This record gives sequence, structure tokens and C-alpha cells, in this order.
Amino acid sequence: MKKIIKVKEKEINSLDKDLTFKQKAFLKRYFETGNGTKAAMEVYETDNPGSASVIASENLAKLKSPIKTYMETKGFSLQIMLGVLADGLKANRVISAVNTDKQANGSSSDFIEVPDHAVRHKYLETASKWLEVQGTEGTGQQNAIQINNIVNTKKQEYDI
Amino acid sequence: MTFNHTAYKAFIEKELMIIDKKTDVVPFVLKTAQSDFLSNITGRDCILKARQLGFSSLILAILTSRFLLKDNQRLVVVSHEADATQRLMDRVKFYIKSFEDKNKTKIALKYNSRSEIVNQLNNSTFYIGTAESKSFGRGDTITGLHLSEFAFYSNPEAILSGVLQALTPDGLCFIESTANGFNFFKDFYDRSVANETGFKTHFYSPSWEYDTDFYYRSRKN
Repeated sequence: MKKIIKVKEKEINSLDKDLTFKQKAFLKRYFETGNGTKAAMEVYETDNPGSASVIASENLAKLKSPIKTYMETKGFSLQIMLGVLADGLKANRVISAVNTDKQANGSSSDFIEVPDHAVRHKYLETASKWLEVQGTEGTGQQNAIQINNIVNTKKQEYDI
Repeated sequence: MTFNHTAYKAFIEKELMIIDKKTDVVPFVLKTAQSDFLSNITGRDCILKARQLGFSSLILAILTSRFLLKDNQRLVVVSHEADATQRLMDRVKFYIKSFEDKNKTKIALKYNSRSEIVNQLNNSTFYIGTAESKSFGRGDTITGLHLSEFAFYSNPEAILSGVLQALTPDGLCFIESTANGFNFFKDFYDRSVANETGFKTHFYSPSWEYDTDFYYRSRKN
């Protein structure tokens, strides 16, 4: 079952003193649910997922700094994440060089350490996905805002 | 039902492109018959027409306009055979692409399959139904419906009773077909003429598009 994280008001207030009431409420729900659209739908009183996703995109772009601060307070600094990724990219596994019944450990010469490409590949995938997500998310946000603006203009222009 | 005829005409002519009979991509400028029909739409329309007058193109363009600009629409197109319906859906996709090209943007589609597209921005859905399915439309909510070549359906009565119940009061329903002998469509059209169905009838003969010479030439061939 998914663990529900409760975020305290105090934690949110300490992130940035200039946050508006709605931004604080949005961040609280975003940290709790991990879903920007859902958070925007609850806080900004909209039933339209399209509008909510645009609001969420705009908010997440504006609130990068408090989000980063919050992640760091929870131990997710960029350095730590890069460190974990770097470790993962060097993952090895122990295999038997000859056919024995012994248990694999560092002191046994019958076993050798070889690169664990499957694990490395997973870390590599995570790293590239993470970088790609960072890249496309920016374009996605801009695109969503642009489409929303265009469609709103057309709606006003044509009154369909 | 409120239907802003001039707004639809302006949107279609300015924002959408179409492939003409010379296979060129051109702005969708309405022809006489199309323009006449557009200005007489009531929301419950039954059209008996000659071939190749462009009614399917126009109706799909109207539904596409709603797909792009109105929230929470459920738009459906049904044709007499699966391949024909698929081609109608491809035309809708072409309209959307032309709108994107014109406005240098990309409409975010949540789903984009051969049978269904969902606009992520406004939660509108456009999907195709098959006239072969007896229970089509039951349990759905439909805000825009295009029954194409209705006179050629194998079970038109069942389809119609299913979809009409699913149609919202403000929804658009277009039944269009070329004639196909004495059948349910003919009967439905006649009852509509007699104001028994709630549908307005529209009759478009070949003379809207073709001159008499063309008619005699075609008969000779």
C-alpha cells in the first residue's frame, strides 16, 4: 500500500517566507501526493484536469527553489543523487571462476568480480531518464502554457 | 440549442485545411451547399444528399472545432463500414494537424489511437463507432454525433435508438446519407419531414455542385 506522507505546515512555512497562501497549500499537497495536477485541482478549485495541469506546470516552474530546499531537507540533494548514480554505474557482481560449492566472498580466490552490466544499465537508464525528464519537462511546461494561450485566444475569437 | 453558425464558418475557413479533389492541401473554404447547410443547422439534422457534396467533411470539421475549443466533449463518428469510419477519423486527424501547423503548436493528446483521440487540455474525446455494433452508444454520453451514410447501415434502428438516448440535450446530431432505396432511412426522413422525429430535414440535390451538362455527360458515360 502506498505510504501517505504528511507534510507539516511549519516545514512549508520555513521554505520561503514570500510564498502566498495558495502556493503553500499547493506545495503541501504536491509533496504529499507527488502529483502537481491533483494538487492544483484541490487548491485552485478547478475540475478541469487540463487547466490544473497548466497551473501545476506554472507553479512548479515558479517554485523550483522551495521544492529544491524541501528535497534537500529530506536528504535528496543533487550531490547525493549524483553520488548514488555514480556508485550504481560502477556496480559489480561476484561470479564463480570455477565450478565450486563454496559461498562467494571477497577472500575466496575461486570467485572473481566482474562488472554487473544489468545493474549499471538500470542506473544509466535512471540517469538518462532523469536528465531527459528535466529537459522535456521544461519544454512540456512551455508547450502546455503556449497551447493553453492559443486555445483560449481562439475560444474568445470564435465563441464556439 | 445555441449554435453560433458564423463562428463555426469563420473557424473552419480560417483555421482548418482540407485536401481538395486535385489532392492539394488548401484552406477549407466552404462550397455553396456546405455554406447553406451550415447556416441552417439546428442541432438535430437529417440530410439527404447527392454524392461528393462535402457534407462529411463539413460535419467532421464542426465536430473537430468542438474537440479543439470546447471542454469535456464526447464526439462520435459512425459509418456504414469499419474502413470508411477509419478514413473519417483520419480526416479529423488531418484537421487537427492543419490547426497545429497554422498556429505552430502541438495539441497534447492523452490518447491517439486509430479509433480514439483524447485532448489532454480540455478532456474532450473523439472516437469512432461501428454501425455493426448493436449496442453502440448505450451507456455513453455523447455531445456530438455524426452518422455517416446512414441508409447503408445494417441495423439503423437499433443504432439510432441507442445513440439518441446517449445524446445530451445540447448535443449535435447529424444523420447524413445518399439515398439507398426504400428503407429505414427513407422512412425516417419522411417522418422528419412530417415533424415526427424532432429532426430538421435538408435535401441537397446534385444541382448544388454540378451543372446540367455534367449530369448528362455522367449519364451518357
